[in-house]
Amino acid sequence: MPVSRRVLLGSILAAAVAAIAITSNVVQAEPSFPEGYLNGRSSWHLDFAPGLGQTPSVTREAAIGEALKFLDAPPSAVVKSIRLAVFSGSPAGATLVWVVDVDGLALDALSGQLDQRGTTEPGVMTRSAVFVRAAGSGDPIVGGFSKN
Amino acid sequence: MVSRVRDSRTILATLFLIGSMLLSSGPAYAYCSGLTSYAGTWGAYGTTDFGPWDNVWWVQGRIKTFTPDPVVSASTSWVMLADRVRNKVAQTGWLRRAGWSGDKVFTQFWDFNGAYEAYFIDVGGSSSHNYTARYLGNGVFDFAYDATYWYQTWNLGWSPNKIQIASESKNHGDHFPGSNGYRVNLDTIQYINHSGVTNANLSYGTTGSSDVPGLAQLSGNSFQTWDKRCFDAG
Repeated sequence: MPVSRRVLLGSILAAAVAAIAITSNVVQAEPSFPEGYLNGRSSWHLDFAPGLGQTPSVTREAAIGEALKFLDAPPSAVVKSIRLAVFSGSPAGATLVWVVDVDGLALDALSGQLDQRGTTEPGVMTRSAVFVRAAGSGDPIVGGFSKN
Repeated sequence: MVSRVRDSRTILATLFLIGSMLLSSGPAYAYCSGLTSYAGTWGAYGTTDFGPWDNVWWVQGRIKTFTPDPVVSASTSWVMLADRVRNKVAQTGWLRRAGWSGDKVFTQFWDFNGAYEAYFIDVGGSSSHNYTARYLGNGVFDFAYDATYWYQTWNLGWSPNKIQIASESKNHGDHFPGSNGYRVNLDTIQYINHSGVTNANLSYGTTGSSDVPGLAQLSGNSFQTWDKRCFDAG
């Protein structure tokens, strides 16, 4: 094999390995947020296999940025996964979204019964899946779900 | 000499009046900043307890939208079905958390493993909306926004026997819902217990230091809340 081809192939392989390494530091391949929390509840539905022709104009990186901002995420928060889906059942209609799954949050739960609990410190929700609009205009956050 | 003194007094009084008007017409956040972590719970609420074995199946209230600013933890107004014995809740209304650009429709509900929160559309503006929490039996609840049911739970393991309707914030630095110039109305509060839709007859109260939550009872099923420290238009 000529040297120039070896160099070319080596460069491509190195770039691919580097891309995988960078991605794996940010996003794990497998989602860890239970899909049952997100789907099949009343009118709410996420189709994680959107049909052909559904093309996101918002990048994964931009969607992650929107989600972390929305969640007021601390620096220690970890993005567990990001998946493309069609979110339907909301008044906005069917919307192509990035489902960004984040762990390590510190969202104060509400206090519950104010007459019983008074100023008792609430629980903390640490996990969230945020639905970030992947195409079109409007509020970038169209829905989501958090848990302790 | 006397007229000069009178003139200067008049000028000073006029300046004082103008200054007061400017202060009261704009945002007054002097007491609404400086804290960045959980500091307590401030609430203004109405509640009815039906007794430990007497289920309530449905609660609805019309709540005026308000966009609290600043929010360093959370600020919200909601209606709720609750378990008075085991202190469980299923609530829905509008909510703004730190990092959010505005309000969202939300539900928060508890099972025996903890707290869960779902949220979807943004509800900016000054209009009022109907929020409903419904018990379907077998520990399952669902929630409606303007009569459209949008989220249903799994079996949470408890049944409701109490209603509560409230404005709430989590931090002394949060803008509590409403202001001196723009109160949040929580009205047309109704429930279903044994028969049809019934107007609530609530008991009222507040929590947290008294400098924050304003509460005005208008009737048994209607009240207003506001942040005593603030004069903004919301």
